[in-house]
Amino acid sequence: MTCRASRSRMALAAGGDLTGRAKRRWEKHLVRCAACRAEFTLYQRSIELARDLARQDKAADWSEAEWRRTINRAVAQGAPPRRRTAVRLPGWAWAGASALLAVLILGGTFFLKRERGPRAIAELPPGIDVVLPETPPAAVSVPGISPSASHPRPRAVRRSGPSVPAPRSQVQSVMAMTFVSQETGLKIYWVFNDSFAYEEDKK
Amino acid sequence: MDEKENTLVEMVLAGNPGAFETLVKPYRRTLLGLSVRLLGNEEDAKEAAQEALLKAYRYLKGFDRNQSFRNWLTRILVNSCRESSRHARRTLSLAESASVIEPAAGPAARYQQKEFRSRLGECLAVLSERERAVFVLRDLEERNIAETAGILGVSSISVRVHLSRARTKIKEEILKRFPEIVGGSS
Repeated sequence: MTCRASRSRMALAAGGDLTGRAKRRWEKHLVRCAACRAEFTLYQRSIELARDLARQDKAADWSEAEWRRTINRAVAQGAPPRRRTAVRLPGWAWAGASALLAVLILGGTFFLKRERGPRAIAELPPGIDVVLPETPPAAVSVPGISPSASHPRPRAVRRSGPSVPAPRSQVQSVMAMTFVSQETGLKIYWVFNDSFAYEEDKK
Repeated sequence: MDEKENTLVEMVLAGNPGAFETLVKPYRRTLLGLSVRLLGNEEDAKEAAQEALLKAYRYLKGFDRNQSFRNWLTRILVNSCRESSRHARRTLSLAESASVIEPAAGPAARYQQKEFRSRLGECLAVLSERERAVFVLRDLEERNIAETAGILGVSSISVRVHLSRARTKIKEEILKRFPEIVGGSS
């Protein structure tokens, strides 16, 4: 063991807290190293001195009145707060309440789903049909020319027949648009959802 | 655990608060003395000891009867002292705590006590909070490493590390302050 290693263990050894193999190795070193022995003596003396000072220092004590006050305060304030008496219900009441709650939750969920479900397209008020005057072939994008410039704008035409305005109370949640080619009779349906995002018709 | 203490704990828990004083009276001086050494200020020490007794009464139900009541109480006190020192952040000055000496003591005895406490306080003041707690419990209260670790709620290795540092610092401080007492034996 080196002196450096010995000194790192010295503080523990001075108080008798070094044990086992480490202690034996350290003691071997101490036998042949005078400097470490001197250092060890200093440690021992300083610990002894601190202990002596602590022993001579008469321990502080409470006066009788202070002690009495302290104990009374501890008993008065230290009492754990009383728990509120909980309402005691029989087991069947809890079970019934739980079942009722479950039924309410399930029923509520079912009805809410029905209310919020998508309405059939047939029930919707008639939308605006757009009839293209000329059916262009598949749109070919020409760089530099916007599609609106190359093709005439579609003209909105009301459907034949009297238009029935939708009742005011109903809120239209889905909107459909139909494009009809006069030449080929091809129909294209566009369906928009609530947020006016395009949804492809799967039919 | 002591059977007598066990009985007293049972009595307190059964609703006899008078038994609490009998239970803690043997530790009356120890609690305050340890508190003064840890905090270095009599007023703070008394407050911390009072707080410890209050908590001991409040949480007596959670006390494990297989453990030592003394160690349990000491642990509460050490935690109270730690909280107190964190809140107050007052500097250690054990010299100020000379008024703890009993009023019956004469002027000479008072002076001597003041001297002892002042010297000890000067030495302990160089230690950190944890080092002081470890040093006071192990070297001044003469508890073993395992007990000290249990009271502080740390591992034995941690206690050894802090103890080693504390003893080195104390040695340096004593050499600096009292070279004539330790002597230049190197």
